[in-house]
Amino acid sequence: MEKVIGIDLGTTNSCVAIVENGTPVVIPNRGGYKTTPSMVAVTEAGKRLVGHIAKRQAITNAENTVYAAKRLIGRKWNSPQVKNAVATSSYRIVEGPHNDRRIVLRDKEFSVPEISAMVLQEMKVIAEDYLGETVSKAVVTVPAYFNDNQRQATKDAGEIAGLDVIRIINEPTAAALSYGFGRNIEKTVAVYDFGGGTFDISILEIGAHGVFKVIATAGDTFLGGEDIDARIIDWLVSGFKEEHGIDLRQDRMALQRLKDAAEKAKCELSSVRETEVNLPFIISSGRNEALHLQRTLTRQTLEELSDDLIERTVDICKQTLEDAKLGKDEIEEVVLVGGMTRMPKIQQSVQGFFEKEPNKGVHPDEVVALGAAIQGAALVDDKQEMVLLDVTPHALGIMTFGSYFEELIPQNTTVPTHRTKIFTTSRDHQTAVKILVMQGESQRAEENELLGEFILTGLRRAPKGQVEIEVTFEISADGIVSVRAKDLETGLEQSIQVTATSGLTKEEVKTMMDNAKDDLVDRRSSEEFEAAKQEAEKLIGEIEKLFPQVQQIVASSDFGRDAIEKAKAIVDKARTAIERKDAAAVKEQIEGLTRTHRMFKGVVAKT
Amino acid sequence: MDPEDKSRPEAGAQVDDDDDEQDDRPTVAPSFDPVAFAQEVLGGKPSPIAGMPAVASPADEPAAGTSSSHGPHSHKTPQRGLGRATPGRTGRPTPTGLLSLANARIPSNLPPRKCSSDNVGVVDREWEELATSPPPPLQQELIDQMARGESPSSASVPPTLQEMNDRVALGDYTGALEVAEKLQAIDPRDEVARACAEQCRGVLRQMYLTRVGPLDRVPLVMVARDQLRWLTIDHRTGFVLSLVDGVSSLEMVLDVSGMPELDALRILSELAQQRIIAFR
Repeated sequence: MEKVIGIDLGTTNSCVAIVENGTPVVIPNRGGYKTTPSMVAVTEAGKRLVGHIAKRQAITNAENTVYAAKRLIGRKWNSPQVKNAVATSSYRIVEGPHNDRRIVLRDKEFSVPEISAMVLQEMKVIAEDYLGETVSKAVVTVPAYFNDNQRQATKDAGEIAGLDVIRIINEPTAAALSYGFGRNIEKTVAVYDFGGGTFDISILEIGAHGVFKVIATAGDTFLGGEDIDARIIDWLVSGFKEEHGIDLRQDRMALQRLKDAAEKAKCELSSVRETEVNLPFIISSGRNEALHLQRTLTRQTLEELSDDLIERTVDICKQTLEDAKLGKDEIEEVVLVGGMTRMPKIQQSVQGFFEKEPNKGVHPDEVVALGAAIQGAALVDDKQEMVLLDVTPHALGIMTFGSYFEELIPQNTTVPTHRTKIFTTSRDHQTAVKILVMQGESQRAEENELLGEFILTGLRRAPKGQVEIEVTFEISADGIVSVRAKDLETGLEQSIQVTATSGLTKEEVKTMMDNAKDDLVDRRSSEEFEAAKQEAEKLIGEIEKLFPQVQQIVASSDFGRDAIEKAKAIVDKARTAIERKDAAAVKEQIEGLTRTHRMFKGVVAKT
Repeated sequence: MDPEDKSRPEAGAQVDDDDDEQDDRPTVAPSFDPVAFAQEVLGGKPSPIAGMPAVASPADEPAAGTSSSHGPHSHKTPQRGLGRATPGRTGRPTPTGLLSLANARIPSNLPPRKCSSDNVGVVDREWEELATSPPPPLQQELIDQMARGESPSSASVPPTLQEMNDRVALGDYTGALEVAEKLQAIDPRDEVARACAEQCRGVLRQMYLTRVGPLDRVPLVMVARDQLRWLTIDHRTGFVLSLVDGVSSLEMVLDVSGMPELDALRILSELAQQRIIAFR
């Protein structure tokens, strides 16, 4: 059976999982970590860094390190979120073709799906290294509020990374799926997701036959664990300034160390009551004297520093329940998602608000990826009973007179589906109508997303309200939206097929995919070369150690002298192949080196 | 009586002919002719000074009491000891009653001068001018900086191609690179400086790589955590040291150092030399 990986492509961290022998497991990366930072950087030497290594130089190389690309993916250049990112990001964001955006790293432009593709490719490699085989299919999760363009952009990112994204599912749905895996439950669940960069609260109805409905979702895309790190940094910086009169923020190296130390301290305080932040040689004073930072941070201080941020999440939860017209007692289970939910104060606040203990049985960092892996396994295995039914994430409709939005297909409707409504003209003698297809929940049309438009002409000249126009919305199982408008009197009709766009054309996606494939090939061959080089160098070292002894023993015979010359030639060839960085040639020489080493050992052992 | 006449002992001064008193003499009479030496250094014939005895032959009994008459450093000397001449080793006549040359006002920082009896007065004035006039402006700035505890500003001394080449010739590639970079800062189109900088970087990189070894090696901190702050390193070195976690290879440390590769390599090689880090 083909393997399908589940990927939680997070704003700050990503995770990959797979179902093995019926059990979903998270795949650790080479460093042994189960999550990988969603960061991409390009060094001064032009080297591309992804993951942990990119994060370690995120501040010292801030202009060429991309973080939180998820906040930009699938959005238009003139959207408020992109404008915000342009103003606040350390890396450059410029306008690209088709109202798209591009990110500039070391004078080279990348599209946002390309950046996300680098992270997805990293997760693909992690999975392939673990499984020992190629992986080509994946289920990727996205926030519940992502619109079709954002979902398509995520799919494009997968394609660029060499992955066939067979399904995009909502993160709270994946979490609930992981929570309900193996259990036949029907419940109303609140998913409290406090991650590194974003906060989301979703209310789900887990129904019979694998129906997961997102009843309500809300959040803050600029509220996450990193904001709490920032508070700790502020505290450390102000204390140091008081003591030494130096602002550590002015030095990037100091700031990088502070950031790493702040995050580490925050994590430690989830299990201990106090921790020491110890940073020797953090900065030099005006007299070239090295200064040290050493301070103890207590859990109480951390809670005081982050109180208002935690309160904000509770306020959002409250608003969401009100919008969903649900009481706290109707929430049967609370699931915690995201690393920040390990913080005791957050767990207490959630428990305090929902008036029930949150479910801590699922791992908050891994639960979304596990749910995606479960869904992936279900999609390729006919025997699986649990199949998640896809639902429309947002309402669909058209703009009507006065710029109002008329909903035809409500949010969370399972697909495939179709709905029809009758509309009429708004002016006397109107002979044409413009149908604007929109997606969203607002009653004001301009607050929703425009998916497409078309014009129906040839209408009978009549007073307003007398011509009937039938509008039909249809969503196929693959999520393709078709809209048809028909003049009931004449039978004339027009239609449009709405395909989501990520901002990239098919040709652009193909080119990026080829580039990504080349990069992966380069990386793999570099890794192969390093492995071969290490083995060859080890053998060369051991042969050279034995040379003097062997020469002494066999030098008197012609055969011995000839053998020594041959051994030297093999060593020289291997060295040349290493210098040329020719992995294939090095591998060829390894056999000869192994034989030579065996022979030398034998000669020495016999004497 | 001439008030300058110091030949007579002052009232109350004891004159003692006791041989033991020779040990009380402040100096041993030089083996050369001090007067001639003084003339050579100071230039010109010595001014006739009242009371200054003429140079006596070894056989002569010294006149009692002498004094230096050249200036503010003059002081009275014991009558007895100086008056007695001791024959020098060479047999040359030694001055009698002449104070040691330490009393002579000989400026020490003057370049060697030609002896010319015609220029005594002029030379004297030159010495006075040099000793008492303020230093020229550039020197004054350096003096002021040193007084403030600052090192003299290198910007005040523009770098030269010659200096750069000299340093390369001496094998001082670090110094040569510094000069080359300064020259490039002055004129970014300076091809000679650019080429030299590239060469120096290449040599230095090789040198540091030889010290730290292959970049796939993993550095380890060899100093206990609580002892780190007692090391004598600056904050940049401290930053590089903080990147050494026993897991990341040298190449990874260079990638995340956030500084030019050469700087990071230099720091790593220095840390290795000081045995603050080791490799596996």
